Amino acid sequence: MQDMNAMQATHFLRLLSRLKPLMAPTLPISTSQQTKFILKSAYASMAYAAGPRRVWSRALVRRIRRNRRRPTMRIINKRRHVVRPRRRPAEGGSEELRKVIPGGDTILNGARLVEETSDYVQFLRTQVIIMKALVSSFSKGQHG
Amino acid sequence: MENDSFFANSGHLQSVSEINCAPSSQQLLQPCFLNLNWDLSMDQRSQFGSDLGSMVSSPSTHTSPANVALRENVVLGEFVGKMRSICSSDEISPQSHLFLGSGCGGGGGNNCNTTTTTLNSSPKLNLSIHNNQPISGNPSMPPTNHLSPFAMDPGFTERVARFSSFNEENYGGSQMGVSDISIQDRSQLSIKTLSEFGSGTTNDGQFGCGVDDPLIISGNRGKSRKFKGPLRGKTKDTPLSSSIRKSTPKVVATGENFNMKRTKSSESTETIKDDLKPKVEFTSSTNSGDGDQKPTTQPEPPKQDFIHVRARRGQATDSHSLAERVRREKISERMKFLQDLVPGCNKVTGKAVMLDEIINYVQSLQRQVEFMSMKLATVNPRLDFNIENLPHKDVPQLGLSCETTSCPVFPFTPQNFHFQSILTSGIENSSTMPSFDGVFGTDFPSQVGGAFWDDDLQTVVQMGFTPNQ
Repeated sequence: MQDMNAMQATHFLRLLSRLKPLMAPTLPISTSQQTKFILKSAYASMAYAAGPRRVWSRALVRRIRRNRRRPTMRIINKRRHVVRPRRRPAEGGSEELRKVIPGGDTILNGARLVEETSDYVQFLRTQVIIMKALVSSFSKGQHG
Repeated sequence: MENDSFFANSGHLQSVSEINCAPSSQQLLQPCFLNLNWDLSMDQRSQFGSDLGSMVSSPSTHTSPANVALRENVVLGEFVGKMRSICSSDEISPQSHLFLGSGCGGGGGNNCNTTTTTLNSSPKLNLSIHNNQPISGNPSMPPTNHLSPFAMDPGFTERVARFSSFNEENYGGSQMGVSDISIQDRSQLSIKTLSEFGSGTTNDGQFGCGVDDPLIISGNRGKSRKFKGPLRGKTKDTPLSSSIRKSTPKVVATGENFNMKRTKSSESTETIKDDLKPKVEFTSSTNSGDGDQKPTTQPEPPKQDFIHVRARRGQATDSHSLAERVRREKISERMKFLQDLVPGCNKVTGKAVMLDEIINYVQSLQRQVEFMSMKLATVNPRLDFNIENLPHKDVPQLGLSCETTSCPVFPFTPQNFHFQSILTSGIENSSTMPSFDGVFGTDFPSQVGGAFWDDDLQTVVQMGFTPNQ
């Protein structure tokens, strides 16, 4: 169980460490770009730690991919866009929840949705804790 | 205690997979995520890629079936051991064999999408546990394997509940945490989920029995009604069992209720599944006498692909409503777990308000992540993880709760791992950590879906950050 947290933390730190070699040779990146990068890497490490069995983790990966690929990739085959499943009327009062959880609108089963939600919440919490620790460690380090 | 052994097993599995993961993660993460290491030469990167492929493939083939099979073995074996120790009659056990056989087959079939071939054999191996004990075994079962004998477990219902939750979650990282859900509810549901295994064989779906159950239930209900239509009214005449069942949904209690009901009105037909009936009998110690007449009162041969649900007193016996009820119970069970996760949700009653709370909590968490990332960006503008000017303090733990007193800072040099170990030890000791016991416990996706997952994540960040510059 703690191995999962360890994996998540490890992954996140490694992702963050990637940023530095990128930045060193080039001009310093703006804070907003850094923020975006860190945010993306946070979600990516969450999704990685969760694995492909979760709907939300797959959706997260897809979302990150989409953000990255948009400037470079052109839709050659227009059919690819339509592959995304349509909105289906299987809500049962959980419409809002589906909006919040990544990939939630593809989940039909209400029980499955709740399951995914709880999983997502757990990983989110871990991520927040990791980031808080990082922030505190860095700020302590800087201020001696 | 068996609980510890159970978690020790899963912990062991995790440690095994973690060992596999740890060296691999170093190399996995290098190419798979942001390929921003422009310092690396191309051949280095290609070498990482090949290492990645080899490493990912080998753990996935070796450990995942072993992990899952081991886990299955452990869970199923313990479960079966409990059942065996409790039930003594011989005629019931073959049915249980059949049942569990189909259940394990269904569970195994449902389990894996990626390693179906390897896993299909493993559930059958699980059943060989039965053969360890002197019972006329199912002829379809394979010879015994090396599984260790399982002692009788006082926490039988807990095991049943956990087992049911595992299979409910389709082995996909079961999150039915141990501590939160009441054992009785779980065990009651476990009966149903056990019967679901039978339906799993026919479903052969990837999502377990979640979606198809109501259909099957409704389909079967129509069927069973033909058989039991004229006698259906009698289910309402016997208030004892149903009321007791409503109030104290214990496995043992329901078993006794069934028994009492049987003895009193033997001709009243239940809508209990045939597989369910012997199961329920197992749990009650007083069943041994009545067990003999149970097979005689079974009207039809055991149908293992439909779920029978008993109609409670005062509730409609309509097939659709019963299916609805099962579905609602499943949802409520998971909502309970979620409720315990979300702080401040315990006082709130009502589904809508709770949903709102959950949504607010998730949104606040997401905002927190965003805020933290901004803070990280500002606090460390260079994000120099390899800076040596960070003071190196010899503090063992990194307190991660908000009220951290001392926070050691370690340089992110080659001792990244060291820092992470400190970090994670801090995470473990943090009081704010949720109980991840049953959640991440047995699913280690890096092995199972390793190839797919890393490939995905590799392409995620292939583009790197350069386009944004």
